[in-house]
Amino acid sequence: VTDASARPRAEQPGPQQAAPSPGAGAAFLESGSRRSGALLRWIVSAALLVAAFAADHLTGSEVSSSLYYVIAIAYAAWFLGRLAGLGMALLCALAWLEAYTLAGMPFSHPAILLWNVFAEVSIYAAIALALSFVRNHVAQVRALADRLADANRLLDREALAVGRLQRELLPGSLPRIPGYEWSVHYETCTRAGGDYYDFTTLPDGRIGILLADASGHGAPAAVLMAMTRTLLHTTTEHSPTPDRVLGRLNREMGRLLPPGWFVTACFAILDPSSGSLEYSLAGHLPPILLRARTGSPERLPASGGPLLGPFSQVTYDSARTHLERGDALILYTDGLTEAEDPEGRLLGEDAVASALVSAPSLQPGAIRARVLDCVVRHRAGVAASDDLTLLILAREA
Amino acid sequence: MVHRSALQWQTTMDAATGVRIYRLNGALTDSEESYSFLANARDEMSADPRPLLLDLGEVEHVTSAGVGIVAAVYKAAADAKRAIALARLSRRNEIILEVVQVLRFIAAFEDERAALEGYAEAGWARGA
Repeated sequence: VTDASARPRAEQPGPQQAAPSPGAGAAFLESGSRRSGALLRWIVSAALLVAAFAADHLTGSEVSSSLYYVIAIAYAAWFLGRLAGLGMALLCALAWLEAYTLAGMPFSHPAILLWNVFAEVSIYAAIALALSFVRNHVAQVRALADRLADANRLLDREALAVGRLQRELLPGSLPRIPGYEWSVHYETCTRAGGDYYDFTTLPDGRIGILLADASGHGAPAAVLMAMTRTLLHTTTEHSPTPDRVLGRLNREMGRLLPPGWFVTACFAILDPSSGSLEYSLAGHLPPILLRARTGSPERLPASGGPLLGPFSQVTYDSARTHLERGDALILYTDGLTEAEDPEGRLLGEDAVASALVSAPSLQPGAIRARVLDCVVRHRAGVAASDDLTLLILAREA
Repeated sequence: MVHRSALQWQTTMDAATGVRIYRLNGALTDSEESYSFLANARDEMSADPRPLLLDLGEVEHVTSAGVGIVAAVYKAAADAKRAIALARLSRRNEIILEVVQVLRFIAAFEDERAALEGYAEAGWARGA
């Protein structure tokens, strides 16, 4: 997730290979195994019937025998199906009649015997039908759960693939600027993310830095991020300024994006030799500048304009600042300041600034660790609900 | 994790000004309900263009997707040359909309009455 020098990689391993389909031998073995399993179940059913009959006979006609037979019927209905269950119900009724006949205790009227046989058959058949009905429903629910799990795996594989592609769009490495040091943290709240950072080296040696955040998260945000990258890299300007770059991105996005979608961005141009930094914001949170001289964080003015896309006719402003030796610039997306605690409270810019007090002497990696520690403590175990990117550029003292 | 209720809304017409008021309740996010609200607002605007007022007083949570929905309603209103305003923003939602600079384009009022008075003063009422 955190990467100080190179493109963050997907945490998950590569695409899952499809399981090899069983060959003919395996299929034969499997079907043989199924056949022997069914035969065993028939044998167990027959054994239970015999046992029930024996128990009925041995315990005599005074002891109720229904439970012995119900066990045999339940087994047959559950493991062999409805027809087997009904067949077993009939056999059990006959066995009951036979046991009663062997006991030699006649009923006072022949019609009572007929009624009792009818009642036994009906009760046994009802049990067989009910159990086979439940079994079928259980099987259907299991099949449905399997299909849902398969669909979920497929969706997850697709989301992983989108995430991997999206991460490939991030720079493979951070630009090497003598006298400066970077640190980056990139974290998505789902498989794919909508945060995006990139760099361009201008012909005069200045470095363009973009940090953008597409609305929403997941695959749709990743698509927006890819669009932003394409538009950024199709510039034809030889000497761009941050406000002009954002103005052009805004016009293009206004033309391309469907209603409800937008991108926020901060575009900055650094002159490494002087430390001069010009930046513009498009509905994005202002960067924080850690002044080595004062030892305190400074929120840069929110110069720029609205988010990219919905307001296509606007122009953007730029502002300038200067990175002195030892200063550090922190760009971030709203996943930082809008991190939520268990009660839904936002972390906020003030808490981030507080975490950075007395941090100017730190290396960029240590600044990053301090900010992330602040986020983790605020979240207190709550899962991230938005992507979070931190881009820290420090000028060596 | 904080439980957030799905977005619901009611529409009403202010008889004096002719402003259509949407009273939103719940979370304005990337939910199906939020996009249904956007579709509904756009459809009603194209069928019967009137000034709009979004009362967000009962909206407990606005995500970036929710900001996009507010911006899209604004754009639809602007395309239809209709006025739009917000009322009863919580401090949290106000900060979120301020950061993305949406409030540069959409006026925000303390409550519905102030918004309707603002419409009347600006001459935006009655679908003007």
